[in-house]
Amino acid sequence: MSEIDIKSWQTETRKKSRKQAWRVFFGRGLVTKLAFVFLIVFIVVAVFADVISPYNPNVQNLRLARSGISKEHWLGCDSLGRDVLSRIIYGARVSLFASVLAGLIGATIGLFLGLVAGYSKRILNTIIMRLTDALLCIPGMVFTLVMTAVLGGGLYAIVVSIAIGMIPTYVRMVVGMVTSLRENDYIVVSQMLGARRTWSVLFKHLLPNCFPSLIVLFTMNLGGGIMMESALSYLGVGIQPPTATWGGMVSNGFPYLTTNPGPSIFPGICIILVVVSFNIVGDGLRDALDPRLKGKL
Amino acid sequence: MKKVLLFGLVILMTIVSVFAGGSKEPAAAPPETVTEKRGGFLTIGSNSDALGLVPWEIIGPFPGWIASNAIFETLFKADSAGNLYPYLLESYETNVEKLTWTFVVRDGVFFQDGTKFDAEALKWNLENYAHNGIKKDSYFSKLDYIEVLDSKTVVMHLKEWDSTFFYSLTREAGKMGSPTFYKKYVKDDFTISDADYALIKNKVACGTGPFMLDSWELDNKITLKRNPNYWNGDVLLDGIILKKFGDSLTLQAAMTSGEIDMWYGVDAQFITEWRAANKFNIFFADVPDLGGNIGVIGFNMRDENDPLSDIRVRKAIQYAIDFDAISSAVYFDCWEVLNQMAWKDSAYYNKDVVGYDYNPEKSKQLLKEAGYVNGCTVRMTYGTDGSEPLFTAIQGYLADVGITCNPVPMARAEISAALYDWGTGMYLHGTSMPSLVFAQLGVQFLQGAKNTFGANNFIISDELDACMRGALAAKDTKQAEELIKRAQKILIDEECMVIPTVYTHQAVARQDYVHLGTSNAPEFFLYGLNEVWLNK
Amino acid sequence: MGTFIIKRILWSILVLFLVSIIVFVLMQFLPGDPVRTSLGTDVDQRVVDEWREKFHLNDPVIKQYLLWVKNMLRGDFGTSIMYRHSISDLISIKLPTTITLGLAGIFISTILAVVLGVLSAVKRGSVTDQIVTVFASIGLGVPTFWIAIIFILVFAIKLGWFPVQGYVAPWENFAQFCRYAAMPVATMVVTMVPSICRQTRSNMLEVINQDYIRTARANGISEGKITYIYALKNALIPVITIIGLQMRIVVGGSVVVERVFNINGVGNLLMNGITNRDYFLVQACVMIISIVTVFTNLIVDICYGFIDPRIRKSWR
Repeated sequence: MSEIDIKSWQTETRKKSRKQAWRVFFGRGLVTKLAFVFLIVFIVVAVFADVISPYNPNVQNLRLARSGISKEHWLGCDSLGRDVLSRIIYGARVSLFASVLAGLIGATIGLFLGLVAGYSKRILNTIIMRLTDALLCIPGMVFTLVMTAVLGGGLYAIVVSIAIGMIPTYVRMVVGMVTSLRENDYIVVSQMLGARRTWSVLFKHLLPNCFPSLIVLFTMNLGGGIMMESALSYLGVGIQPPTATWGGMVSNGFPYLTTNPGPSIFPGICIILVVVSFNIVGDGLRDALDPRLKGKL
Repeated sequence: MKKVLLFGLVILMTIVSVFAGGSKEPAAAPPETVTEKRGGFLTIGSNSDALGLVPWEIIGPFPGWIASNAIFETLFKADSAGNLYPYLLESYETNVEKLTWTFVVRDGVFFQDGTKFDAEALKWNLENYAHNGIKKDSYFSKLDYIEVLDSKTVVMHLKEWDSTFFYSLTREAGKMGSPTFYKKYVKDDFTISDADYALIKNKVACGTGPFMLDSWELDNKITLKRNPNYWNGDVLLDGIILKKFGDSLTLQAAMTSGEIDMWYGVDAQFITEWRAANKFNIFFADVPDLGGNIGVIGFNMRDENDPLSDIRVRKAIQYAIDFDAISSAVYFDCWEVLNQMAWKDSAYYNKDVVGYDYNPEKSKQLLKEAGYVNGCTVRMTYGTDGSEPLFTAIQGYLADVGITCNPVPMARAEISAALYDWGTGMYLHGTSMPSLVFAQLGVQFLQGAKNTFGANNFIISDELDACMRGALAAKDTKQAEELIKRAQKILIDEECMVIPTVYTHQAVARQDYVHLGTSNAPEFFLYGLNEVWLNK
Repeated sequence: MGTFIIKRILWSILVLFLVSIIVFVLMQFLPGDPVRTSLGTDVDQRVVDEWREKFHLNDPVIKQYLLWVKNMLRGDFGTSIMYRHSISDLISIKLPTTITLGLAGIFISTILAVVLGVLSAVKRGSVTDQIVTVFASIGLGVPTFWIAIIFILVFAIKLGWFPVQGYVAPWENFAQFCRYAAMPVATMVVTMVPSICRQTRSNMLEVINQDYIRTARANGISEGKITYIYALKNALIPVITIIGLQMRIVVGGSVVVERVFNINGVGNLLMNGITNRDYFLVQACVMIISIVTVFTNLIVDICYGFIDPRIRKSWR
């Protein structure tokens, strides 16, 4: 066949598989659709917090401290009279930002390291893999906690720490894929065609094959990132007042649990909804894009 | 097979819940009886562990210092009116001209290891404090030498007269430890090796008090057992357990469920609630001669690049904050809002101090005058150990007038280290300053002071310095009072050096069956633990 | 088998060395000066210098690292600057607590999760299956600290069944241990059961549809035997790995659980060390926690090696 025919055949196949993917994803049932919609809402709320939020999250009205649900304040006020709903909305922004940024950084570095490790000689491979194993021996929470403290606390410290914590999973996955793909005939042939083409082999063939799994892992990790960020905020390692974070709200509301449990309960419910939605959507993506991963992710 | 598994699980859960079930009702209040009962362990809960049991390093009032009050006793004690009387001493005499203090040791006082408290023991304790005491710079800096006249008499010679000395002997410097015991750990030149220090910090202790150290599980609980040979009468309890809890919610639940008998350091939230419901006999266990604690925020006036060096900005900040609202939201209307460094009924309260009411318009006006028409940025250093709500509330008020207040949170160890130099901005003094004794105020605002509040941050005028020095050297209390009142005016109205916040007390909750002596007076809790008994 | 075990142990030791390097390097960057912070204001520079000498803080970094490792191998984890106490002492008091609670959590989670997973796999599509799946999915998103607080609110405060915080060791008083440990363990169970349950379920489903199961059925072996002897044994193998992974999560999560319930374990110790900038304490805690994790993984892998010969082969 001619070049042009091969190209158009490839495009056709890709289009078909994409359509297939959509069908599988949405064919999973109502729950997946709901989760997907919920995530869209979450993202919209986080991005457009300024417009959607009924009040400024940091405005205090001490006379209204610890008041319950009312017409003006749908979810009540916290211990300093700030509107809980507004703080949840702005907290969504922090959570989304932290998890997406951490995910992107983690995925990029993890992908790069994974490609290098999978594709290169034994020494580099060993070093990267052993370091990854070592990192996985330190429990995630402990590592991110210490890392955040080392970086001085604050949102960016949390983001970087969570990102670094995610790197091992990406590295392992990419190395696994690269190792299996390497043995494919067309890769061997490309290699035989000259060393210069190593990078083009990586980018043209290996990378696109990694993408589906990467996307699934990324989505799953978004949920994990939000859990980690909220736990760190709860422990109070750095997001300064008056910034609203879901974990921080739960922690601040704790002393008043008997009289005003709202500020502690509502953010937790949001965390659950968001993380579960990410997991469900991740599951759907996995089934649609790369069912081979079922049981592994 | 499945059924068996499920059945087994159900049985297991039932067994666990049988063990785990507990009752929630607190012990019913028994009818009042006069006859004391002996025995039982008193469990006191608080939200922090003791800092250590080295008698010359103990400062208070922190929750952990109950342990030290049970094990060690002081040379002087204070009655409920705040008057000091000799306790381990039979008598004392001061001679201002000769710069001497003469102490006569009381007969019949014995340490927990059986050795006698005599003049030599007193001398050793005082000399050791002069070398190792945690407040030796504040209290013992004017000490010249100590001599023993006979088995009961000790004379302390000073280089300069210092009236604060008296108070220190009621608290920090006055805690007597057995020299026979401590000389095993403290060398003849008064140095201590690390290994020895670790032992006397939380493993062993020996004083004259009604209770002895049994064990200390760090961060968890201290167990004290009664001293069977207590020199001053009978000890009614079998022991005291001081338990550390994580936070006020847990402590509240522990009081309600009867898990603890007393709670030292009750939160404002529960003080108000329980007083209104007449529950748990809330009382204030301030150190009698120290009174409650004055909350205060200091300004760093020395940094010329910072807005706070301009007095108009400082005044603007004070006008921007609504302390009445803060008192109600953050402190549940529990504490008196202060407008100076003294509370209303104190002898050092100056009626002529105007202070700063809540006036955001005036605040913005002052900012404009100072050239900050679009607001400015300042920072505040505060301890993460409970000051965050107050900080956040203040931050909110400052934001309303256009001042951005950046947080500089610090953990407990760091925040105490920052006390005398916190860098640019404001400093929220978490542990606050004892109120009654002018001596506490007097050593704070002196030119050239090294280790006091704001030593490197305040600009102390000559007049303020003269007032404080005068009060310290004053030979009669009336004169000292007048000088301190003048100092209040300077601190608040004229120089605007500090923001006073609220006047707090160490609140204690007590179950009905806990009896403090015969009258349930607070002093028993601090100084008469041998007369505490449980009606259980 | 022997080669496998030895290789596995050597590998664990190598990884622990790498962990120690990572931890030590991280600690060098911790902001704040622990000596000054701990000693406080009233102290001369001379005393601070003495302390720095004593803790070897002025030595070259490599020397400090080697000294630290040498001491660790002898069981000496240094002195905590904030507690002024030997860290080994502190850890020996607090580690049993963390491990006991962790084991209790893992034990109960495993039993519960396996039972639920098997149930829902065998009864696939039924109401039971749906309920279990839904709860497992929701459970994956429940934050540890939040569910702990909900438990405290409901069971300790409102119902008064359990004490709000604290801990009693099981060998001191088993009944009290159950009372105090109930909620922390329940928290761990809620966070761990979902993933083990899902894994068990999907493995069981996979195995049930295998040829050899069909053959067994065709041969007339009872359904019960098939489920619990043939299917479960094979399905459980990957689950063992998951349980091994759970140790990492449990020990890591202990930081949060111990904080909420105010339990004196290694997690709480670590938190205190970080808050007070106590390098030595933080270093030691992270090392201990990693050692526990590596050790658990080692045991799990060896068990795995016994069960599945393919694993042994891959380590040749």
